[in-house]
Amino acid sequence: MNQITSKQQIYNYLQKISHQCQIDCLSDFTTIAISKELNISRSLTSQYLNELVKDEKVIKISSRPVYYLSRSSLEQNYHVVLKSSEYLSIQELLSELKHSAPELKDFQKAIGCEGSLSYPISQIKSALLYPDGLPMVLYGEKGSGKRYLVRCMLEFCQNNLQSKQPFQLYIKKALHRETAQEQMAELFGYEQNGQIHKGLLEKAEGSLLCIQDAMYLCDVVQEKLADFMRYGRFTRVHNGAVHVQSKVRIILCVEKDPRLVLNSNLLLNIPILCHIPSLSERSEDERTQLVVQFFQQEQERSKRHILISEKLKHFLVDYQFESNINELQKSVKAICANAFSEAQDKEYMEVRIYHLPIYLLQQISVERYEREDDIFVRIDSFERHELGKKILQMWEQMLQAYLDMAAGKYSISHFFELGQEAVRHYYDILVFDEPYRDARIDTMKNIVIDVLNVVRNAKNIILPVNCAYVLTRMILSTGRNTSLLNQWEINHQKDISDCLQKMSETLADESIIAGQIIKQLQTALNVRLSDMNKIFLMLNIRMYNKDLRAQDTVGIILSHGYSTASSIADAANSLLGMYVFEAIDMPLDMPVDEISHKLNVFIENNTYLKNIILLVDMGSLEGLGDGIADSVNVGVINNISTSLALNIGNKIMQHYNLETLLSEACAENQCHYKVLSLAKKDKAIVFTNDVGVAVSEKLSHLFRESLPRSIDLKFIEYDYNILMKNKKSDSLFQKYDVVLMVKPYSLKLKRVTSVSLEEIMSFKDIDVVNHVLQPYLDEEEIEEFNRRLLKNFSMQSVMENLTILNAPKLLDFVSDSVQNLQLLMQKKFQSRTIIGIYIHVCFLVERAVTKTAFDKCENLSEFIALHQDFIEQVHQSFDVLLQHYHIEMPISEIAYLYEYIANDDRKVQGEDEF
Amino acid sequence: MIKLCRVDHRLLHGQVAFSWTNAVQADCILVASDSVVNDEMWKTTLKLGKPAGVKLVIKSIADSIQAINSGVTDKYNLLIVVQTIHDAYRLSKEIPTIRSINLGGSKKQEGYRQISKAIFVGEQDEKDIQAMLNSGLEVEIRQLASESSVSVQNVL
Repeated sequence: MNQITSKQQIYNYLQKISHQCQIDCLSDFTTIAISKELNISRSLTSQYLNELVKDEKVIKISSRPVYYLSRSSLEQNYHVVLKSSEYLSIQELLSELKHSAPELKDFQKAIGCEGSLSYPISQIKSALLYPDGLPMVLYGEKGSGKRYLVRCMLEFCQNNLQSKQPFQLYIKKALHRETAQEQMAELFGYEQNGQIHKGLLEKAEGSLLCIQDAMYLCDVVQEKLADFMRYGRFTRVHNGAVHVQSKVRIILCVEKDPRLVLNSNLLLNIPILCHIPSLSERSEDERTQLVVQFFQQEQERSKRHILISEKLKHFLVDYQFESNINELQKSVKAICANAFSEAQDKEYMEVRIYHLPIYLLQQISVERYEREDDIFVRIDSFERHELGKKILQMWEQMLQAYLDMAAGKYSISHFFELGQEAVRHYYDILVFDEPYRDARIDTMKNIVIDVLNVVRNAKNIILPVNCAYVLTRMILSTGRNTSLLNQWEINHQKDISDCLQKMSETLADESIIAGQIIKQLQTALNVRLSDMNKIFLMLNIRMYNKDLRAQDTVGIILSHGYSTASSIADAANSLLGMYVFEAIDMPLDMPVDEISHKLNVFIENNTYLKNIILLVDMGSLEGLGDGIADSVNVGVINNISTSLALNIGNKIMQHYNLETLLSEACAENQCHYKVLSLAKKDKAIVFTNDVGVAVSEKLSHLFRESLPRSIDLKFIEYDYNILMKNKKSDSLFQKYDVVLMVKPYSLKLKRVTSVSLEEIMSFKDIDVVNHVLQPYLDEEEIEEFNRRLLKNFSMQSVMENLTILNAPKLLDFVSDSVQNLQLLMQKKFQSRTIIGIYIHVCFLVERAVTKTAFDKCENLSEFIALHQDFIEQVHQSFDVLLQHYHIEMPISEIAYLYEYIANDDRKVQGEDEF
Repeated sequence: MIKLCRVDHRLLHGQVAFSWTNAVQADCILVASDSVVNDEMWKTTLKLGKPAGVKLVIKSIADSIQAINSGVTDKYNLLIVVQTIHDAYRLSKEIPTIRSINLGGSKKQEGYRQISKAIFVGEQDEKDIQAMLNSGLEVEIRQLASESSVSVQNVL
């Protein structure tokens, strides 16, 4: 390879750069540029170039500076044959290029010959080139261009086949109303009165015979045609004896699938079935080309430059014409005819929507995003806006760069630079390109953007919005089998896969990410993305993410429970803003084997991983690391929690090494605890007493009895000594919310509402009790409670000491009487007074009943005189009681009561010590 | 100084406590009882029912003996109340300064003999009274201070 001469080197180089040459930018084609690029001295370069010009391999433009271009590249690009090797100026070259531009041959003229028609054309070519030709069927919808292709065939035969006489085309259009006889006679000829009338098969000997609408051929005719194809001979009508031989290339045209409309016998003899795509099956590129071509034809005829509105163009390109190309062409004619009347005196002719034939005009829908102004474009300038071609250009540039690199011309990093250059150049064009409106593209683009966003967030990479736009175009274009891009990819398959292979080796990280994007796109859009798309993506990723360092470490969370692992992974990933954790849920009934199988599958699917950190919850999972593939480093850490996952996730993102990561994570994740609150506990009033549980029981009973109705409050008697020992830490307080404690002074408890019995009974702190009861009882009920408490309390003293009377009953009477007395006196006695009165009156009644009342000996006349109203009040309030027991209240007792009540205000004193 | 040592199963109640406190000019009442000391409720009742302006101390028999003999009560005009005759006997046996016993009331029980309106005695009570009398103590029956005193020898 290194042995090639400098002259050859220069020629190769020119060949290459001329491929993408743009006539208005020729700075690379000067002697200086070439000599610099190839490191060959300037004089030598100049000498070789001039030699090449003489060899007619290179074209020289003698402007200043002088340019040299590869002849073959130029001729290929412009489909021309250049007459000269030296031109005085660029203009001279250009004019010749333009003049002789459409020197296209036969099938090359057909739009889509490299796209949607490339396969049918290759079929047709092989049928025609086969010795003596093969019969074929062209099938495609009405107006899809079958007849046009047949005409191309004739030209092709004329150009490529040797023949004694010039090729001709015979066309027979089969009609529905024709009889079998008529068709027989026309095709195979007949004899009448000894005179021979040749049929088409005979006339077309050595040429082409096209039978249009072949499905209208009668069955017998089709059978006979089948025989002819098989044996190469036939008999004329009315003469079964003479066998006529003929070599005709037969083309049958039908509109529907030939297997449905043609005689099966006939079909057996036709090896080539060509499907001609309908207009809607063709790519957008081709449809645009067709529109442009038809307008160009009209332009020729009308001798006016045609300016077409973008909107009209889009309509024509997108509209599904029933009669396909045929109707499209007719419509274009009609449009131009309508427009022409307006443009008679002008040089330009504007065609717009309202020039459409009426039946098409009705199809116009109002666009949601109507553009303000409709833009008019020269019909000749359309091809340049073709995005497909631009993409192709970019691809070619990329691939060419690769091929050069493969040939050892430059390093791989330089190749990446060139590739990125191509991408950047393309983006630049894109910015100035007319944004093309198509609902499908918009929707698709949104999906692509979504997918890119997901991957972008997950992998922390940057991708420009343009990338999504281009990708969408690529996907749309390559989605169709017939498109230009696809064709190109098929043609360069080997180089592309080599290129991708090489790139994947070097750009492993980019390759992984691009792979993931493509995988997601394929799932989301249900389309297949080509290798070129991947190359494009990888270059993009490399271009915008210089410091890309792919995650070679992943955390896998494994946890018992149906979705525990997924939940932790989700939370951690979204908090980290990056996809760091995978999750494997482990329902309790799942065996460990299955888990390690899942893990192994994961590792196989993600071969790029170097480290795996298993975050497990406990137990059997900890031993999981042993059972998995040894192609990666595996670390296992237990006691997984979201905070541990976050900690590890951060470290993974910071690229810690495995060992450090795990040991630090372990050290940093300690459990701490504090108890914030205890669950809601039952509320309780607790009674305790240093004398014994029996007393507490009595007290608690007394309280409960005094409640006017049962309430949701527990009454608990509790051992005094235990409380003394444990104080506030006693289990009692864990179990119950102690709202009130009735206890002796000696027991000190912090933050427990407590009262002593005396405090309650003296009503000194009865408010504390009432406050506790407030949530359960209303005001009246609390009053009632207080009264009953007093009564029941007094009962305790009375019960044991009353010997003959029924204490509860007696106390009821007494209580009512004292209540009455309070009402009469309009005075509320202190509780201690009331208790005193209760007890005293009870004993008094008993003594009176047993006639053991005390003798009175004091002088009471003064009392009687002074307190007649009180005596009256006592009699009145105690009346029921006195009646019941048949006793009288002695004046001395009334006097005692008076004194007792009079002393009511005195302070209560507690128990004393000496 | 011990003003009165009284037996009354109802201890302090209303008029009784009132009349005696006034009569003997007591400024401190000692309830000496092993059962009351262990009955919070009764103690509370007593505390609530005591005459105003008088100190109330509730102690077991043993504690009472110890307290009185220690001399801490010397500064008071002390009124001692016990529930049973036996309690009175236990006190008087150990406390030399008790020179007389007042019987105010005792509970009627199965097999007890009534010796006055409010006094019922069992065999043990009679023995105790006899023992006290033998040791030279004065034992009288009297419910209220205003009543006349009846010597127990007269009713036994």
